[in-house]
Amino acid sequence: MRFLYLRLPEPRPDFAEACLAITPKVHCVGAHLYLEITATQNYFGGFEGWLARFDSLRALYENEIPFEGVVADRPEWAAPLCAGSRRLLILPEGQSQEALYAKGLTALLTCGDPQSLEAEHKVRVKLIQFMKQVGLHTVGDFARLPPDAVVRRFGKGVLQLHDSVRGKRPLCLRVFEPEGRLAEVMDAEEASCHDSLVHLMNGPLTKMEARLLGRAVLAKKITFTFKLESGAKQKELFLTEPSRNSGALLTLFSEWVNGLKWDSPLVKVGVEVTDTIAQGSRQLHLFDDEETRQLDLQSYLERLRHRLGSDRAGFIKLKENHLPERTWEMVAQPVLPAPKRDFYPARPLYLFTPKPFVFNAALWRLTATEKLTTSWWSGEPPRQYYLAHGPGDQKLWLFQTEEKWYLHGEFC
Amino acid sequence: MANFVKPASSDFVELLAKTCFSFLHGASHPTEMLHGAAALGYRAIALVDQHGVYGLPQAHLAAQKLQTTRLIVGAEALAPSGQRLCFLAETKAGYANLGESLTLAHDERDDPRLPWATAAEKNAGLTLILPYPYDCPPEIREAYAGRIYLAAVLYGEGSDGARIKKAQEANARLSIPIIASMEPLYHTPHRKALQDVLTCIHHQCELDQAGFRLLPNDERHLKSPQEVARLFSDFPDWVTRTREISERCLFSLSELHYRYPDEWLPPGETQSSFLEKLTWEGAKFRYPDGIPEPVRKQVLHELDLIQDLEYGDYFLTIWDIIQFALREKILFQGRGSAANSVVCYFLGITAIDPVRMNLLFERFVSRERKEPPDIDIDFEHERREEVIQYIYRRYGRDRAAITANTICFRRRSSLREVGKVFGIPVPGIEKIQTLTHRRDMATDPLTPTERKQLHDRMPAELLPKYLELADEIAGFPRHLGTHVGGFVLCQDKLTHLVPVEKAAMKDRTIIQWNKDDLDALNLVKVDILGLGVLTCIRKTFDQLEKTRGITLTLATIPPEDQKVYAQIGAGDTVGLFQIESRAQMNMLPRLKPKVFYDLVIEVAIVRPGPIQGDMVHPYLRRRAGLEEVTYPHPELEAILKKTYGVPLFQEQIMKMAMTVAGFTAGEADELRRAMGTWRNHGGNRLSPLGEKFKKGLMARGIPAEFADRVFAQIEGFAEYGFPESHAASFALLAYATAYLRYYYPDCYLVGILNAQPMGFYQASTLVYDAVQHGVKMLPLDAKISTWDHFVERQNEVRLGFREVRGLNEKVGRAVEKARVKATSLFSLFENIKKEIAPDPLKKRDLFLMAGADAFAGYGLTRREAMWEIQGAFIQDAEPFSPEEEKLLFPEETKWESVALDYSAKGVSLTAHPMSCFRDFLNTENVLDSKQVFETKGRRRVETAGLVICRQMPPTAKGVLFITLEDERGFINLVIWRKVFEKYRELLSKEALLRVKGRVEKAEGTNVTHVIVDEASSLLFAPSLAKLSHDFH
Repeated sequence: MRFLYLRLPEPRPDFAEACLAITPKVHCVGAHLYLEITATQNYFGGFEGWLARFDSLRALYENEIPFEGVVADRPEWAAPLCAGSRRLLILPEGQSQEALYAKGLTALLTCGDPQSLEAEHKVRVKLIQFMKQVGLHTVGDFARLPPDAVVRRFGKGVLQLHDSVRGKRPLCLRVFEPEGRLAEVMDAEEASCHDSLVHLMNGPLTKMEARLLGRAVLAKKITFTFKLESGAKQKELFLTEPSRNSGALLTLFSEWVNGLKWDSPLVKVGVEVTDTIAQGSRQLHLFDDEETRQLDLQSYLERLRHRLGSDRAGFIKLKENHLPERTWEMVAQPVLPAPKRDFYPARPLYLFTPKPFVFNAALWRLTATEKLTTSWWSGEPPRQYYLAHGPGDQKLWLFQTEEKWYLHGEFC
Repeated sequence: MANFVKPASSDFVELLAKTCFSFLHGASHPTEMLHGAAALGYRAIALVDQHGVYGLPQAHLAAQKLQTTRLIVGAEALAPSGQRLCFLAETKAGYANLGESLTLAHDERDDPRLPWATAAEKNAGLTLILPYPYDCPPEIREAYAGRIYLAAVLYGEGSDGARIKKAQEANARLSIPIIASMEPLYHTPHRKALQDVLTCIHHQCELDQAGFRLLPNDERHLKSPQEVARLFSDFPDWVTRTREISERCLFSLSELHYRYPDEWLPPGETQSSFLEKLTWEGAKFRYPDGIPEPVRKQVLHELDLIQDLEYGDYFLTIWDIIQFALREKILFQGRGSAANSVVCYFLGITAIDPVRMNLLFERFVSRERKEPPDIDIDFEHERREEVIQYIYRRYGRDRAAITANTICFRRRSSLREVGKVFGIPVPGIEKIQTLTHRRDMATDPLTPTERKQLHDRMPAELLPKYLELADEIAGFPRHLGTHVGGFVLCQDKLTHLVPVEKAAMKDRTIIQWNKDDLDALNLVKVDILGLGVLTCIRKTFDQLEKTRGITLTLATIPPEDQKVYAQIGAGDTVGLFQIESRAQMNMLPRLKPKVFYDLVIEVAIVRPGPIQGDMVHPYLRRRAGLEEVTYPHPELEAILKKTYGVPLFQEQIMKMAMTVAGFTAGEADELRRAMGTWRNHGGNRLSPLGEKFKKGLMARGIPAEFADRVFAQIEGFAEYGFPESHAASFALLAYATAYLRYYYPDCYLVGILNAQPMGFYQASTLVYDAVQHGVKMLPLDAKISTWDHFVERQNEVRLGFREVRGLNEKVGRAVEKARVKATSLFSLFENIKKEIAPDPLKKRDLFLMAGADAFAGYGLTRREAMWEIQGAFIQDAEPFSPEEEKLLFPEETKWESVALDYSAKGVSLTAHPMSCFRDFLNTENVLDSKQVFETKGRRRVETAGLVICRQMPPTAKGVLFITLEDERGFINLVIWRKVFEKYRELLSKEALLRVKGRVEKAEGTNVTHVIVDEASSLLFAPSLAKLSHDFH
């Protein structure tokens, strides 16, 4: 058997989906992608034909997916053999093991089942350290150890790795099954006219064709989203004859887009197949009322915050600060109440934003209430608060600092 | 108010003041609080620091000096409910109860709480004040009836009315009278910022995050009695009650009388008769042929003085402790000023004859000084704990405890801690630490460029406040540590003198006062110190007895051996006590010691004191006869004759002060003390005395230039100067080590290796040095080696398991028994498991042994042994089978072997690391140490070696000294500041260096240096980096 292994910079299920068009045995583990060549190479006229088919598929994603890869005899050997630096290394059939044995011990870190690499990482690091201490430096040195001796020294867990290295434990990977939205997005800022837009649209629709092929479905309904500088517009295209042929879809798009006009420059075009001939329904949840309500409230508040500003809507969180105007803040998530204190200073319920004002102290009866000499590190001057009794039972709460008076509140 | 009576202006007494000894809470020193109170017209003030009386001695001394404001002794404890209990001592019995209560509260080290029952029981002579929340069980009310009060406090927080109401409610509920207080935490409002910073340090948070943990305002300062009376004008009786309490709390620290234990006193003897008897017995032992008249006179003088000052018990207590050491064969030696006393010499405490050495007794005890003498005794460092536990056993934990060591903020730590509180990023803090290191910011402020560098790392407006607070906090106590070994012993209960608490170290208890406090209160302590070289000598003696049947003691080592002096004079002193550093090695060929006193000079001369005073070169020139010996004043001849007219010792300075500068003995001693503590007091304390000293000398016609040099030397003494007596004690040990190393290098090597860590050099250097002196090293072998190194045959030393880095000592020691019945490696492991049970045998320990190539005796290489060990620890594996096919592992290369040896045990018997590169270095014309040594002066060379020591002494003004080692010896490098700046990273960290530079030869000697101008790394070798002794 031969496998093509690709190490992608990030998981790309869309690309894996497209690869299903050239082999049904696609295995996707995170950013590791394994394509079994043997299964379909005869269909494409041998290994070279298969590779040509893969190349044309890869060309669609050329600028989006920088990758490094290797064609090897076994998937469990592929990752340590991977060439790196955007190159596809093709090892002749039957020579992968030899190449692996020549690698340094650190190759053991990526050897075997990619799903267990993280869990086994520490054990393997220790194993490598130990092997180096006893003067063994290559994967081959490790492979040549007698299996019984390996079990006695490192336990049965490491024996699996030992077997993998020696090709005695074939790797079984789950076959990739596509799921999620069928959507592609294209930058349209370069489109200067309808023709160039149609030309640019060829790429996304070809990718879509490959993905539809990979899923073995036909498109019934396609939604195009045009993101303009002034806003977004959506158009839906219902296909009376379900299809995945990118050429046909491009012709339809071209005819249809000719009749469209927009009032501001086009930024992006999105294409999404929103209905296919094989569609499953989503599972409903029966017991999520309370949770939903909470989420609804948060979602509602979130929308309000976006609309009115984060300083104007939110939950109140009490803060420990002696300065009255800094004792609370607005936050997005509901919070627990602050711990209680033994004594609370007497303060008005509603506060004004303190601003200096001309205050004739002689006309008021002043009682000193509290003194605050805090937040000096942020340049806050000391404040002396007073309760000012005025004519007509008016009770103001004000403070004096640096010879200036500030009105901060009024007692009811 | 109808019954309003204005209180007299001085009626109020603050009864709940706290100082910085409420650690990280109060923000004024006790002296500041006392002076503040005096300035505000307080007749008395009570200090109630949290959990103890840590600041009491300082406050007591301040009150004694002031005379106007009396100190009321108190402390605050926490009840189990969290209620604060503020105790004030009315009488001496009350103070004893306070001490006992606080001691019991400290049973729980991390969260001291005083049980209610104890508080009720220990009530006699105490007044109790309860601040809010006024939690008071009936038994407390009953026990303290008439002496219990509630404190009402006005914090100016806007909730004062509510607080007063709570106090009144409690008063109605409990029928306990109320007193007024402001609970001051600092003496001036200005300290509020500092108190905030201390709070943040305590809670490990930044100022912005501290919230309500910070106080809202600066009202917690000491207010004048009049202002407090005004604030409490509605409650005058609360104010007048404070005066009544203060008039009842009259206990003063002066009432404490300290007595030393006397259980060692035989029936029918008094302390003076017994001391006299022991002294004359000792005299017979020291002078079997009769006591010379001057010695007899000196003994009588000392005994007379000891009798007068009532220090006899102290000497006898020390005598009792050393009797234990003698019984248990623990090597010891008195050091420091005790060596000035002939009584100490006769009692066996010290080993130096002060009369023969013409040492100054007044340096030790002085009638004028009225301060107890200070006897420091060094014991073998590995066995010091036995002595400490003996003292606890002998005198009981209620009568013996170790002195505290108050850890204070220093310049660097205050910059770091305050910086964290301000939220300054670590690089910013480090930058400012660098810029302000050893710099007086008042006289040498930051330049605009430096300020700019800092502003990149912190907000500009914060900088001045940050620096101001960091300065202010320096000197504040941070927490209580344990003194290195100062014991306080008492005839009665120690807790009646001072509360005792648990130390961080298991089985240690400490008192709440530190060394300076004891001195100030005239309390005596005994310093039980540990000295590695005594362990080394003891172990050398043991080896000598085992291998050669020779029994030696410190007293029986033959004195004045010229062969030993010849080796010392050649600078061949690796591993010798006090004379092994590079500076000492360079000095020895110039000084060429020939008699014991030369060694005393050698020990003392390479110190900052004589170097800073520019006394070294004049001494060397005069000694070599290159300069005429003159005396600035005829009267100085008697004092300076033995050092060729150049003052080198503290005692000489004191004698000059008394003889020529007109100082009394007490003043001279004050000068000596100022020398010792000058650095801790910001360099201010010495100036008036120094001026007087200089003027005194000049008044007698001594040239100003000489006076200036002597004064510079006094300043130098502040940075580790030696008194002559101390130098003599150390020189004795230096000679002993030199003698043992010269005649018995194998035994000495075992002694010093088994006493590690100690001294200047790593084990590898000591081993290479011994090999060069004819010792054969035998490798580590699990079939032969023991935990300790030992002499297997004459001049053949077997490495011990203690050299294996990180090896559990229990495992290492178990090997010896385990191997007896072991038939294979696997059965050896099984036996070790049994030996160390119930502790489990860890694979790591066996790996460490295998890594050190310890299983060669079992026919296994390092790698094979590791492979076998790995198999012995797999749980689900089948039993280890010796028949299993033997795997062949690649053979180690020479470099691999050396590197693995160094990483496993710090020393390699295979080869010196540098020998692995020698062929290559030869092709590159890089010289080895011997070739460098043979190169003529001023020639340019390239050399390389393993870094074994880096030093940048303060007296060298930024010059870095590096010592390299190769397979043929040492290479001394000198790196000027500019070159160091250029290669800072490389020179500070690399283990294997390759350098180019110019050879320099010291005049008249073979001392060779390479003045480096280029440096590079020979090879990155992290396993060798640990070998260097850096910047000590």
